[in-house]
Formats: sequence, C-alpha cells, structure tokens
Amino acid sequence: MKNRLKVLRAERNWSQMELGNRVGVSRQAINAVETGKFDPSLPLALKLARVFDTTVEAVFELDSGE
Amino acid sequence: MKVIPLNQALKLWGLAIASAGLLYASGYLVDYLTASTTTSLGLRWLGVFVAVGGTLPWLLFIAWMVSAMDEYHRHVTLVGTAVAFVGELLAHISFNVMQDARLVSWSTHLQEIPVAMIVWLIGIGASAFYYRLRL
Repeated sequence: MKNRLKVLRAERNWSQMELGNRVGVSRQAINAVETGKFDPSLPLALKLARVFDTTVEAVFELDSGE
Repeated sequence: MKVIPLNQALKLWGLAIASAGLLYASGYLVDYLTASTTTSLGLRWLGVFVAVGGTLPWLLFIAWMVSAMDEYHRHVTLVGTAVAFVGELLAHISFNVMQDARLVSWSTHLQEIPVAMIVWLIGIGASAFYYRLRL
C-alpha cells in the first residue's frame, strides 16, 4: 500500500515523533507505516487522515497489484 | 513503544518486579513440595498448582505490556510470539529426540521457563529484525 504521509508531514513541517504524538502511536510506528513496512489499522488510518484534515483515500492508495 | 503515563509505567515496573520475584520463589516452593518421596499426594498437587499459579502474574505482566503497546509494536510482538511458539516446539522435539538417541542424559531436564523466555525474546527479536528490513 502506498501513502503520502511523508509529503503531508513535510508540508506541515512535522517530525515523525510529532505526528506519532498527534495520533497516539510511536515514532517507529509512523516510520513503519510511512515506509510501507506496516499497514495501519482502519482507526489509525482514519486518525492520520483526520490530523491532515483530509480523507483516507487522499493519504493511502492500494498498489496496482493489490 | 508509545509514551505511557508515569503512574502506569510505575505500575508496570512494580508488576514486573513482583511477578519475577514470585516466579523465582515459586520454583523453590515447588521443589520443596514435590521433591521428597515421602510427600503426600495433596502436597504434590499443591506443588503443581503453585507451579502454574506462580507463572500467572508473569503472564499477566506480559499481557499488560502488550496492551500498552501501540499497534505496530503489538503486531511485531505477536508475530514474534508465534515464531517463538514454533521455536519452542522445535526445541522440545529436538531435546526429546536427543534423549531418545542417548545424546543427552535422561536425568537432564530442560529448564522450561528460562528456555521459554529466551526463545520468546529470540522470536520477538527475529520479528523486529524482519519488519525493520522488510521492503
């Protein structure tokens, strides 16, 4: 699953730690989601979309093969 | 791991120390209750219950730790636990066959709890390593 977390984070000048604090997870969790090593749960995906004031579809996108 | 409040961290720390102490002490009590050939049937059964009961606070501590983790670390830990289950199974099978093959003496006992903890830590380490390297 692809995501735009890094771009959205950079636009707001937030660190992974800051984003993690905003959604209640660790920096490592944000890093794992951002690098595509871990797919977040639906509640976490919704929280991420909410802190960026956008929709889940605008943050996450299925890979072509998925 | 996500940040947890200080009072929750202190409770976790207290439970960790208490449960480890209980685990350690229960081993001695179980030996005392079960080792003698003259011990009554009731005391030997009590030894079994103490052995099982002594591990429960430790397992509760682990469950509490897992519940305090964020979903990524919980996922890594649960995958590591599944890996450790397989590792533990293989360790027991190989040890039993080594005894059957007389490579290990029948009087040798596998230290269940230390082996389980070491295998569990290896499982979690392997899981963390896998998720760190995964592309």
